[in-house]
Amino acid sequence: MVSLQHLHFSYKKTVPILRDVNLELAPGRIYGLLGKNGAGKSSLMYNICGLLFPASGSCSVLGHTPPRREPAFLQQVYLLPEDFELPDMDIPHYLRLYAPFYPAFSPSAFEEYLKAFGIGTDEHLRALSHGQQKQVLISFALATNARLILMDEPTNGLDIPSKRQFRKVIAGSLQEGQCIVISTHQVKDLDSLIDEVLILEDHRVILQQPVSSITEKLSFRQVMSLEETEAPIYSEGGLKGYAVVAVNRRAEQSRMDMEMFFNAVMAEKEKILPLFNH
Amino acid sequence: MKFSFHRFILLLKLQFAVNRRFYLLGSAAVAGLLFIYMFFRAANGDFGFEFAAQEESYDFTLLFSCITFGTLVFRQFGSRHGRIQALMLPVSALERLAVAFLLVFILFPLAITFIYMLCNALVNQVDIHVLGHPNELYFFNGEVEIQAVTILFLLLPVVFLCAIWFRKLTFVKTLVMLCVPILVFSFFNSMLGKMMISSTQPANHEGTRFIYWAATPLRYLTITNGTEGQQGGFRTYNLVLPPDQQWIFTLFLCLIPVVFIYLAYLKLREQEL
Repeated sequence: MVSLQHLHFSYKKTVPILRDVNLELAPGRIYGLLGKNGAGKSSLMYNICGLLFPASGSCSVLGHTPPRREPAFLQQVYLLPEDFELPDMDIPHYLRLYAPFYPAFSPSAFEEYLKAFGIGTDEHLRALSHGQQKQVLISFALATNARLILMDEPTNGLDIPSKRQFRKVIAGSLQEGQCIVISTHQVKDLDSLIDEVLILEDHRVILQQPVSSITEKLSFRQVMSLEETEAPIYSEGGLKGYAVVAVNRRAEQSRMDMEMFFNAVMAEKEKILPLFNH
Repeated sequence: MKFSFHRFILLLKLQFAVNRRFYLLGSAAVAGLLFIYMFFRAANGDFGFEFAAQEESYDFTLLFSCITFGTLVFRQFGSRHGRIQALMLPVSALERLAVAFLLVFILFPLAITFIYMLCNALVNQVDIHVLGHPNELYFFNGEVEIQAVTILFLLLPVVFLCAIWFRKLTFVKTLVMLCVPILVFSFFNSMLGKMMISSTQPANHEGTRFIYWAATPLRYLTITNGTEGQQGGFRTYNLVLPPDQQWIFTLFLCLIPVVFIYLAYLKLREQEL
């Protein structure tokens, strides 16, 4: 579905943003794109959807070359940006103007998603809060039935119930031939949602692994004292003891803590990455 | 080059819907300014708002308003989120260009003309019946409008390119971009004419001194003459190329807008975030 080979990108020639990025994304999966500030997450997404052009390397999305931005390509790719401004009109008017650009758009699905978020279908867009406007845009993005949906910090600005609703809506809407990429800092919001983790660091994708493979190789535990467990790779102290990430030698079943995992990779790259790179 | 008439219509509708407040307020502002200016001229001019003044004002209004609105035709590209939204919309660069072309080259001039004629008709009635100036109502006069429209259609392609090229301060930068080539071209053209003519005089000038005056780019040279030692009585001559040679220059002139529009298309197609 998405194939990037040796992709290089920079805004200025001397300052690389993405260096030799290789990435393959498959349909039917939800990818979590994680990285520190300035790691190039948004730039990577913009390269995938054709908003930025790679300096070298190849980028193929759904058989199209993104920088050409052909209408047939754009009908199948939807980008939900972090910042946006909706026009001064009500939702039905917005729908009448924008939905016809997407041949696979489903008005009934749009209504259903809005309902799930608790937003009326006749509301005026400017009368909604920023978080609610984002929910309208998320509903629209999913209703386009685009085969590739890219979301940049979709949970920013959403309140706690809306975040839960967001997870529910996304999990329920994914279709077989569809792929969703979610770039976020708020990894806790998406713990249960993501199928595969992508970590961007040092201008390249340093890790791409399914959650199942991560929990197979690493165990995530909560312990009162570090002596209770064999030497962990990474630990974080808290009021209720320690959260630890350790090598899963006994094939334990544990629930992945996305934030712990990300912090562990950032702090202990040399120990964690070799576990996945063979 | 992909073009779908269906998407073109959708985009046109979208352009009107998203910018309707801007267009309505813009039209009201133009009408307001025109009323103030026209009433001022009608009330303070010795002969009111005369036919010639109405004609001149129309040409200026048409040029200035079309350039102003033209620079804002791609205003959604001015902000980052606007650019994302615009570039991710499933339309081709050609469809986007076609919508902008229709607005800038056809709909804006028509709308400005309509507003002007409406304001002018009202002011003319006041001028005649209230202020007592029996001025004829201006409603197109043939050759002058053709000249104004020709100038407009030569300037608008530059405006078109500038509108997509400059993301910030588009209007100011476009005005500079329009002024610089006009000044450079006029200066260069005049210099060239002067160099060609130099101090050459006709063989049988018999005391008449010919002076190079100016040249209209790609059209003719203007030369004045006068008898030596005599004050005044200058005659003006326009040196025109034979028709079988003039067409080459006319064609070159016609190609200038095409080149600018094509550059605008390339800029739209290659637009990045």
